Amino acid sequence: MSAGVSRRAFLKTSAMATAAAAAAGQLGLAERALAQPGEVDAQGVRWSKAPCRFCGTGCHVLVGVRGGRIVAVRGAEQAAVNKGLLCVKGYHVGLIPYGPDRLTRPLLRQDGELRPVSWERALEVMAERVERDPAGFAFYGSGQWTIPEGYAAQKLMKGGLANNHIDPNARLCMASAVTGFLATYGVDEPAGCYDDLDACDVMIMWGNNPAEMHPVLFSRVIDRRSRGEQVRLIDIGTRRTRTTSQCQHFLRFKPHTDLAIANGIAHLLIANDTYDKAFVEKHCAFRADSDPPTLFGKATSFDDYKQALAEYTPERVEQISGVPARDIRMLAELFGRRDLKITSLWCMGMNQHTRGTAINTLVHGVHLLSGHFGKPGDAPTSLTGQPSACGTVREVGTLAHALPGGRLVAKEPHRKQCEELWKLPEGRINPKPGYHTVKMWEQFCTPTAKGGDIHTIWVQVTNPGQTLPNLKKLFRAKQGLADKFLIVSDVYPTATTELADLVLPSALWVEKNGVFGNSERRTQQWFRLIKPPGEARDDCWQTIALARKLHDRGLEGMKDREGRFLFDVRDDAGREVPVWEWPRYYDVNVDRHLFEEYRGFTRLKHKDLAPYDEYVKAHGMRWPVVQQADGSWRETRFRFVEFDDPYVKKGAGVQFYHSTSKDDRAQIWFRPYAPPPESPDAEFPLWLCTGRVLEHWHTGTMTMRVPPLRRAMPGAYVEVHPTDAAAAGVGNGDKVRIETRRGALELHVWVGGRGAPPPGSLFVPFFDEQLLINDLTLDEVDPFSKQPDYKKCAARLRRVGA
Amino acid sequence: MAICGIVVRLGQETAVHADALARLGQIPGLSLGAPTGLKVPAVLDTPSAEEDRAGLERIAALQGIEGVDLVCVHYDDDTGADALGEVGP
Repeated sequence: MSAGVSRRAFLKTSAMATAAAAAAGQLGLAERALAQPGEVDAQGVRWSKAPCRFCGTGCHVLVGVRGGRIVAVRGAEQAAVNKGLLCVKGYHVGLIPYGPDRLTRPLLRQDGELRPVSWERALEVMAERVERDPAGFAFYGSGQWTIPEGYAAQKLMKGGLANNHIDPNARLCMASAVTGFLATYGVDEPAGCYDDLDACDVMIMWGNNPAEMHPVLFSRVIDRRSRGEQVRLIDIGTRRTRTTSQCQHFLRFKPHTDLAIANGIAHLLIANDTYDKAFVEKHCAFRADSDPPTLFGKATSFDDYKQALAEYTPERVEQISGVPARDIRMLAELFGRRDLKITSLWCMGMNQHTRGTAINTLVHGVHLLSGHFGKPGDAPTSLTGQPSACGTVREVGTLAHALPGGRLVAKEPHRKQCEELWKLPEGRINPKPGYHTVKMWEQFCTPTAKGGDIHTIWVQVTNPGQTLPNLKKLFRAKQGLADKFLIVSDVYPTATTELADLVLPSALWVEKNGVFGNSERRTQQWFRLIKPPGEARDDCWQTIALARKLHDRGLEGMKDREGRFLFDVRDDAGREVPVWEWPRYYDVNVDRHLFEEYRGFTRLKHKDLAPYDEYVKAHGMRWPVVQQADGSWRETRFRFVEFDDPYVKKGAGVQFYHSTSKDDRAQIWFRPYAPPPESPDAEFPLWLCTGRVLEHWHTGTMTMRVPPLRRAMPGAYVEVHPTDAAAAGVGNGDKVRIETRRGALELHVWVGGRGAPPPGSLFVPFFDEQLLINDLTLDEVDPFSKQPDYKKCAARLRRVGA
Repeated sequence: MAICGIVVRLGQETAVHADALARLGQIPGLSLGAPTGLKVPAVLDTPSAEEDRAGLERIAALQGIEGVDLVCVHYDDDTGADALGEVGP
């Protein structure tokens, strides 16, 4: 028997042992049979833990490395999130570092072409751009920033440059969830967690397709049905998806009318006297829009709320939404039952919405009004699309208006707290919020002479050249503006690097240390397992190196009030370590240093984190993590409830301790249905919706470089209903031209494909950088969250050549 | 390209289980373990990148199968290197 065959036989035996243990739910068996984190198996493979690089689920992967290369991955058997399972993207995550076109050297555009330069030269160019006008420099990051990366960027901008023009791509995907939580509970992020999926009797997906976007979570519920448990699944959506096929009910609604559905449920709960009076009287207050509208609105009464809802009869809701009145009654009947546990899930469908904040608050309101809150299985829970949208963006606060730990730049006490924690001179932090994403790019793409006051943007770990809406206006208009300068840190060439003036090669995933925070408040840590290729370096190092360059060139903001460098890192003996020098960066654990500094910010909003070393030992912990009398650290599964949340007063039962009405109550909002900013008309008669697919993660930068995934889904397409296809005289595979008021794109038609849009509606995925659907999308934003609506605009279709 | 450890989830209609298991047995490269309730541990070993993905899709599409969960994958050095030599998008 050859060594190769022997090795393959061994691997098959290992794989079967893992699968058998997972099937039997015998984690102990798997633990004994398989090498665990830190161990080396018989094949010389060293296994280590890491969260998956892709979505916000936060699955834990065990990564097998041999000879400096990833050779295997498996789901972490002991990880509570995924219990040993992976999805098809997670299963390929070990291949993402190995695309053939990795960026390995800094590239500076000279005479129109990107040419290699040294890191030293690159940093000098960046420093010159900042010094030109620090107030016109902006930093654009993402929910893929690790917590230390985001924290370093935040500190550089707000603490060092006194500049709040830092915003993440998460503005495009979950900002409305943030404003929904803030307006309802006074504090961001879900109260429940994934344990709710194990306990609910009914799961309602609001414009959500977890079968493709969060498959491991969806599988967790489907698995319960496989065991004979009764779980009722309800898909409230605008198009049939793979999720729909597993649901008992599909309630198709007209785009944008989900507000009417939520109001219709609330109306019936009151009309039928089936709302939870005791819960509402004890724990809730009522809220409505103020004039002018603000995020926190104005207090109102139950009677006013009831009166406002009166017009949302089932028949009226049917008229607005297209959902049959009997289905609205069915939803209200379910919410009216105390013997059921109901979990609501949502993601982009509710968030990418010009009424995103409003629909978020209404769904929370339905749960509060019906008392379906605060018990395992009873929860309104938003999901995130990126691995650290919660940890880095929402908690570290890498948003233009925010400071770490839920603080706001506009609040003087919050600025003072940050100045104290960062040891900054008093008054350093700028009180004026910076530009949110859409505004930032609009200012960048506007000529300086016409008021475009952002001259330079540094982009890290994201691809705005593909994901911004209305790309011609918000991204490609940069072309020809000679005084604008785009810096992009990334691992592969992208639609964004195409216009970059300076490209910086970055380390990816387990090529660097990291910490992510997932959708259920779980903070997860990992160590560097392999080296990045060529001269690629950590994004966090890049930020610190620029800060040091500015420091050395005399920029006063790069020092604290004691004269120390902003990123002063010391070894165990108290000696300064020059971590801005790449060869010295891993002399100490910079992540650990930054995380421990950041921990000091987390207690204000009761999002307490444990010491870094506790996360090294665990498959993540959900905040607040509070130290016990015996010295151990305890996570919190359910917030605001006495049985689990240590911050709820004894005897309170439920306590919304960040209540905006300052009385420990959550807010039940009334917000009316209002038409979208753009609807189909005679000229553009169809709805256009955009979204994601199972095989590719967001813009495909990583997954399109994994050959099996690329072959499985090689390019974008347009889903068309057979009636519309027939009217246009096209069939499967035919090329059509899709047009909106902003742009046009030619795509191949897919009729009867994976998703099924209704008549009058089109769907196009956004992963394909050769076919940029965001040339066509709308850049209108929600008034509170500033999140654009990618889910609906008016379009037309015609056969190419017709 | 890869050796995948998977768990095949059977549907609740027990009458079709025997047929489903028989169909699974016909899939090239698929080795079945002993079922635990409605779950069947299995290993899929395929020679090419196309076939492992296609095999998983084929399993998931079979009548009587509710779904497939992946639990681990070992990338084969030789074929993996070949696949990775291709050009990105």
